[in-house]
Amino acid sequence: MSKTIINIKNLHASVDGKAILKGINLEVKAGEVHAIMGPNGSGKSTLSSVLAGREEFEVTDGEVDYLGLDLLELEPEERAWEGLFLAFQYPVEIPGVSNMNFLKTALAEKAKHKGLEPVSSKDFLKLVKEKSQLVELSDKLKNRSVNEGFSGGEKKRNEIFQMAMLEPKLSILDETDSGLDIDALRIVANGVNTLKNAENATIVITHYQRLLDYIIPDFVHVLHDGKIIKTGDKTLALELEERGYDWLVKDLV
Amino acid sequence: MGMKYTEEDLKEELKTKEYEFGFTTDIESDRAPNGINEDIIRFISAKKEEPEWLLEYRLNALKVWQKMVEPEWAHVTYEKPKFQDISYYSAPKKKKELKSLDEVDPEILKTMARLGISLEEQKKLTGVAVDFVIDSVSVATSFKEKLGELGIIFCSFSEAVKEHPELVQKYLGTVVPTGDNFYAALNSAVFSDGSFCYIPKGVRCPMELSTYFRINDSGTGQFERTLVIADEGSYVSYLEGCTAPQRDENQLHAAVVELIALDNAEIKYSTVQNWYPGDKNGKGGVFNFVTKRGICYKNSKISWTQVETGSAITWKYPSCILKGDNSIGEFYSVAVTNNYQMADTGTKMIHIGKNTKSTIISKGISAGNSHNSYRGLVKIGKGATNARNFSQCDSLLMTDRCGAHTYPYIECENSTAQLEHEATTSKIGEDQVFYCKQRGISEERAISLIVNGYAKEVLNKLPMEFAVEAQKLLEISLENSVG
Amino acid sequence: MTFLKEKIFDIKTSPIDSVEVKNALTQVSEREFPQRKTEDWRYAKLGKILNKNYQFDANEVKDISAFLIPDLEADLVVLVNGFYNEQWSNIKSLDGVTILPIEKASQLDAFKNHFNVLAKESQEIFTSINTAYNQGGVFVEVAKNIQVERPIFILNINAGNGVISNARNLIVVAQSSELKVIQRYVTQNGTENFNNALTEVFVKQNAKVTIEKIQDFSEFDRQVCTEEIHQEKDSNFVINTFTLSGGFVRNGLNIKVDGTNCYSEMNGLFIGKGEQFIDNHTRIDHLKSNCISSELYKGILKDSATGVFNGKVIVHKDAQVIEAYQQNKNVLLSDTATMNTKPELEIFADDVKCSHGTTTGQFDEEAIFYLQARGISKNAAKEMLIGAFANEVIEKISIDAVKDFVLAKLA
Repeated sequence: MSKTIINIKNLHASVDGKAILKGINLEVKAGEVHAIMGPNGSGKSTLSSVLAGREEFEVTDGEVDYLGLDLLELEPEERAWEGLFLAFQYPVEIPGVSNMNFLKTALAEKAKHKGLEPVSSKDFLKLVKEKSQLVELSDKLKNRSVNEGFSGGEKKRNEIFQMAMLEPKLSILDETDSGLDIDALRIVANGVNTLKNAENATIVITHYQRLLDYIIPDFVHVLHDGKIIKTGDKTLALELEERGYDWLVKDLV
Repeated sequence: MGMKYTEEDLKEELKTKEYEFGFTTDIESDRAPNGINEDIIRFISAKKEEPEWLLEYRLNALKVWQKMVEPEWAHVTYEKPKFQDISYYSAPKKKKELKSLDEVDPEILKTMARLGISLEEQKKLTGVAVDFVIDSVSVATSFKEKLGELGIIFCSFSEAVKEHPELVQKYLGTVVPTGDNFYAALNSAVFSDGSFCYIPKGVRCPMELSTYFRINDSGTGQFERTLVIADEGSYVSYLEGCTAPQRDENQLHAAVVELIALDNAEIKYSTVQNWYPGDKNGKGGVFNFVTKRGICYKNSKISWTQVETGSAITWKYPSCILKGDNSIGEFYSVAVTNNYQMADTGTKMIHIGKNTKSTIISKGISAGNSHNSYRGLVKIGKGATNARNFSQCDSLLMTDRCGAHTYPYIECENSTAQLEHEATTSKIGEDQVFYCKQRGISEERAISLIVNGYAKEVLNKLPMEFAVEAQKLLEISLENSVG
Repeated sequence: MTFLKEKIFDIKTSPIDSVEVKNALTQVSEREFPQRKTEDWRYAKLGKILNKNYQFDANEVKDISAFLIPDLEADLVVLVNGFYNEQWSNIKSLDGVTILPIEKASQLDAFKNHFNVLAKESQEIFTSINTAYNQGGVFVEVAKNIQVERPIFILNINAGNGVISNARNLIVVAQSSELKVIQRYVTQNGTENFNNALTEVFVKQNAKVTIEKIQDFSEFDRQVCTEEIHQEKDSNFVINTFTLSGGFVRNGLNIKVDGTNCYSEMNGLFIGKGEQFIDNHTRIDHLKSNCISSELYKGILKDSATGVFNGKVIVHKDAQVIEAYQQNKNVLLSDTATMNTKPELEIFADDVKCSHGTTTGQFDEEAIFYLQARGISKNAAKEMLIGAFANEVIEKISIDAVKDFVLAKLA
């Protein structure tokens, strides 16, 4: 029996007093890939934001156990140090801060809080070289300011590159496929698949089934109105692609 | 670059050298009574054994100043200094000697350590008695030997008055006339000391000239006067300031800096200013009212780079008069204000010659309850055919209690000019901070990363050693600033 | 003391029955005219305006047809030398819309609640003069929930020699109503007239007001023209100012955005030639959150003309989530023309996106050469580029007849 990475119980969250998540239950074990699908406004991005610790979202009920820690008690950076990684739907541009400097800082802060020596410049560069090949990120992009002037596809590849560098235990990919052409999608998926192992887990949040052709999920969950209304295997995704979400919603009534 | 003379080189050199010069001797009766009048001016001039023409210069300035009123147009509020309660002459003060670093304010030591200032230097800067002192006199002398071979003059202003009166007389007050403004007039009447620098024709000064090492740095006082002359075809990079935090007891500083770039010359003037900004409640702190201006003759270039994190009130507009054809003026500035600091800074680019170019990059960062204003003038005269200017003034806001203001004046009297000005004001991006945090970077580090990125265009213009310290300064100045 | 300051007390005071007039009289005697060093007037040479003995005169106008805008369907209000002219004004009465000579409105609630409320905050002596010495003007009130289809055309005519006029207008547009106003300023004949008009506009909750303002006084006339605007929440205000001629023109446009979720837009095009002086001062005060303002002013200066643009954007404390954009672009077409620009941002809140940009220069030589290479003469090429430059602002005009009129004026 593989170990549980994250266990979400009865999670409720709201923003500006409006309830968005209305009782999410989800357990993800090491080595698993979970896909969360659902129509716009179902709460998919809210779930990823709450797990990453965005302040605007207020958790009103429920608990989240992450590797034995009370996730909701942790600051966003503490969650990151514990290996929680969010690939943003809209990666932010940070002018003047080079990608390399950014990552080096991230690794150094993590090392510091784990009581480890920061990675040496030499090892860092070696790591960068190795991991950037994974998503075919050019040297030019690596040295530019974080996400500044990147195309949509480059931004998403940069997210996966960062994921590779930080070696997370739980990766949450928030609509990583949005705005990607088929080649970029393949590169991104290939990166995710290569990083997958028996010790880590992945949550793929997506609107379309397309990405799931490349990243094969073990479980597919359908989110509707802040709740998971159906869980199945990868065939559920195909069914959703064909029939849309309405039939599921109708069943609810 | 191979010739650059660093502090480390110097320490090595001094260790192996006999200590030759000792301390400056005490001057008898080293303080003038409070107040300002003709007698005081005569007293100062006599103390400094100045020639008659300089006394006349001071007396004239006093007359001009007495007719002027303290300006109020800047976006700063403060209790005006009582000009008759200030002593306008005091000999270089010896700091109270402390026995060990234990006696020094731990806040200061903490900051120094974070700036990477060595223990020895910490002792020197805080006035602790040490066995081995990097004595400024010796330092200056070591430099002087090297510079002397090239004919470069770099000395205190008083020394220049004695040794090179013809140069001082020829250029003093030619860029900043006595009546230019209230504080410049005051400075012209009572200036204490300062720096003088002359680079002969065709000479490229091989090292950064830094007041950090200059003689009697701690005693140059409130009314500093700097004169830099780059003769035809010469080059100099001049660094002003000290990044160490200093609790200066002089509240009012009114300095004047004049730069003269003769034909084909280039002057790069960098400042990192970190004077005492007052405490968290806005109590105390230095009033920094400085007039800095350079004049460019044909094909010459003056470049100002300013990083300001200190002072309670800053009022400063390093400017360029682009008199010669094809001359270039540049202004790069980062001004950080926190707590109750107020800064009204900017530049003036006066285009007179043909094909003159100017660039202005100003980055303001306001935190706490502070106010940060950019005030600039770009003036294109009738004869300034084909003048070009590009200005960019950005403001970053860290809290909802601070203010950021932009007041650019653009005056154009020539149709062939091309002028462009852009300004933006925005809040520090919460989404940027969150993104950093999600990657495991703490909030403080995230803010420092983002702010340094924002200021990078300017920091890149600083000499390397300075840039590193300046970055750290930004970090320290903005500690606990988001809210 | 300037001549105007000495002589002003000979002018007949305002016919408006309000205590505000008396207060303004006191202000006029206490206030000074701007000096060269007065920051807000630093580029204006006021001497020639102030050292003149103006008369106060209700001249006759024999024919206004030359001043009308072709194909414009509008209610017409004619003000001659600041006096409401019943003879030429032509108003169709509409339910809920009140258009009256302002002095006849003094008993109405809308008048009492709004007259001078904005103007009295001003420190300008010209504003006090207008309040104290106006000859009248027009009062417009639109009741709630009325989308007024017909615009109101306020035609201001300078007639005579050395006449001072201080037209005073008050426009109140109530909740969820809409109104379009055209203001035109023209000279019939004569010279050295001084027009000191002031319009106060109140845009109530969810209301929308658009003003198209066209200034084409003769190059011998002078004008200080002020608009004071107040916006309540969810309101929309747009003003487009076209300064096509005038010896000395100073526009003061002040908008107080005093409600959340407002939209404000200010656009301007000014063309100076000869010795003309055109000065546009705008100020927008964002007092409440969640608002957007946008400003675009363009200047074309020929001969020895001087242009000034001073745009202030002030975001007050507690006014969060503000987007304010300001652009000023100028071209100088002669070596003796001058442009002074001062865009200002004063930000006291933190959650803002504000920007301003300004450019001053000449037309791209490459573009002119390109056109020449295609067989277009240099002058025609320049005219073409002027047209393209101006068009960005002209496109903002909301009434086709007015747009055509401005285009024709420029051709």
